[in-house]
Amino acid sequence: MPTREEFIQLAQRHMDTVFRLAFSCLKSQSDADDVTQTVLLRLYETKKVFDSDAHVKYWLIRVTLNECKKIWRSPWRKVEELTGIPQQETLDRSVYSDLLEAIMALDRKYRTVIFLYYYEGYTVAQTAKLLGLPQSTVGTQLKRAKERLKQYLTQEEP
Amino acid sequence: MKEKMRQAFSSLHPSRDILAEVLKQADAQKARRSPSLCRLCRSVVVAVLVTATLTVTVFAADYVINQRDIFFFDTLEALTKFQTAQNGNSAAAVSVAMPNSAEENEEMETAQQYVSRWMDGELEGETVLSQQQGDPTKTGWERRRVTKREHPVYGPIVNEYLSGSIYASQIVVEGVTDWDTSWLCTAMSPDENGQLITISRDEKTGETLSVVALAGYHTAQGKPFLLSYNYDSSEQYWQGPEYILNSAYDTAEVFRTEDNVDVLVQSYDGQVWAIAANVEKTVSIYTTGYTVPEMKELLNHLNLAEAIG
Repeated sequence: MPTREEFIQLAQRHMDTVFRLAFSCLKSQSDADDVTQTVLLRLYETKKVFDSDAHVKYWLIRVTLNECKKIWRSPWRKVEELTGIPQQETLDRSVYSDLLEAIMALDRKYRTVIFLYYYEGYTVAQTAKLLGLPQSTVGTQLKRAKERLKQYLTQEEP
Repeated sequence: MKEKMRQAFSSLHPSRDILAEVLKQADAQKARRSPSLCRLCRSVVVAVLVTATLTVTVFAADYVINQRDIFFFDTLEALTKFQTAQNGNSAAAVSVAMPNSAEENEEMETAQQYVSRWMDGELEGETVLSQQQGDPTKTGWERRRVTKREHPVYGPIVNEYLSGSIYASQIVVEGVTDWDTSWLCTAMSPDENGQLITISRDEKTGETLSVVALAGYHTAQGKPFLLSYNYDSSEQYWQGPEYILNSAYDTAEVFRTEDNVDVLVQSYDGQVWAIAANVEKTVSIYTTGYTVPEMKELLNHLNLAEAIG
C-alpha cells in the first residue's frame, strides 16, 4: 500500500489518464468522474507492488477498463449526451476540438483503441493485451476508426 | 496524427476535486475502525443528507417519490438554468441522463451473463471462501459462492452469491425483504440460470449491509424483461434528485400503482423503464417486451408496497 505522499504523487501523475480513458469509454462526465474516484481509491488501497511507473499506469488502465465495463454492463445505464454539457469549466470548449467530437461520435470499441494507441502510445500488441483482444482485431478496429474519423471530419467541413 | 489526438484528449479533465474526495474516503475508512467514530461519521452523513434534502426542497419538485425528488423539464435550457440556480450559480457540470437507443442496448449484458459473471468469473478484489452446489428443494438456491473483500464504505465484508430459479418468483432476505414476485412467472418465462441474489454482510457483526437481486425473464414474444431489487443500508448511497428531460424520452411520467406506490415510468425507442424507490430500497425494471400501458398493468400486480415498504 503506498504512503499518503506516494499516493498523492501517483494520483496527480495519472488521474487525467484514468479520467480520459473512462470518458472515452463512457462518454459521460459524471460516470467518468465516478470511475476515476473508484480507481484512485483502489490504487490507494492496493497491496500490489509495482516495478515502475509504467507498471502503475498499466495497472490503472486495466482497473479503469474493468470499472467502465461494470457501468456499461448495467441494463439501466444511461448516457449523458455530450452536447448536453454546456458551459462546463472542466470541458474547455475552446480546446474541445472537432477531432474529439469526431472521436466521441465513434462506437465505444473504436474510441477505446484510439485512446490507448494514439494518446497513450501503446503498440497494437500492448493495446490488444490490455483489452483482451487478438492483435488482428485491434488492427482492424484502428483502421476502421481512422476511416470513420476521416469520413466524419470530411462531412463536418462546410 | 498522434499529436492531434493528444491535443484533442488533453482538453478532458475531471470535474471535481477527486483526489481530495479519495483521501477523505480513505481517511473515513480508517476512522470506521473506531466504533465511537463510526457512529459520529454516520451522524454526519445523515446530517449532510438532511441538509442536502432541504436544499433541494427549496425548489418545488414535480413529484416526490418516497423522499426522492423528480423534476421534469421540457428543454435542456430550462434544466440547465435550474441546476445552475441550485448550485448557487456556480458553473458546475449540468447532469442530464439520456437513454440509450434499443440498438445500443442490444450489447447489454443478459441476465444469464450477469449470473455467470458473478458465479463463475474471477471477482477482482474478492477472495473466494467457498463454492457449493445445492439441492434447490432443500436450500432454495442452486449454487452458492461466498467471498470476502474490503469494501470502500463498509470495510471488511462477506458476500454471499446465491443463484437459483426460485428467485424468479420470490426475493426473500431475512430482515430486509419478503417479496412475492410469482405473478411474473405466470406472465412470462424465467430465464434459465438468470436469477441471482447477492447479500453483503459485515464480516464481524453479520449485519446485512446490502442486497442486490436480479431476475431475468422473457415475454411470450421472446423479449427480455429484467427485474432488479437493491437494498443498501448506507445512506452514503443515497441517490439525489432525478432530472428528466422530457424530450429525451418518448414518454416520462410518474404512475401511482393500486397499492399506492409511485413509480417513475419512462419509455424510449421501444424500451420501457420503471423505477420505484425509497431511501434504502429500489426496484427497477427494464424491458423491450411491454408498452407503457402494459407496464402499468404489470406494476399493479407486483406488490411494490411490499418490496420497498
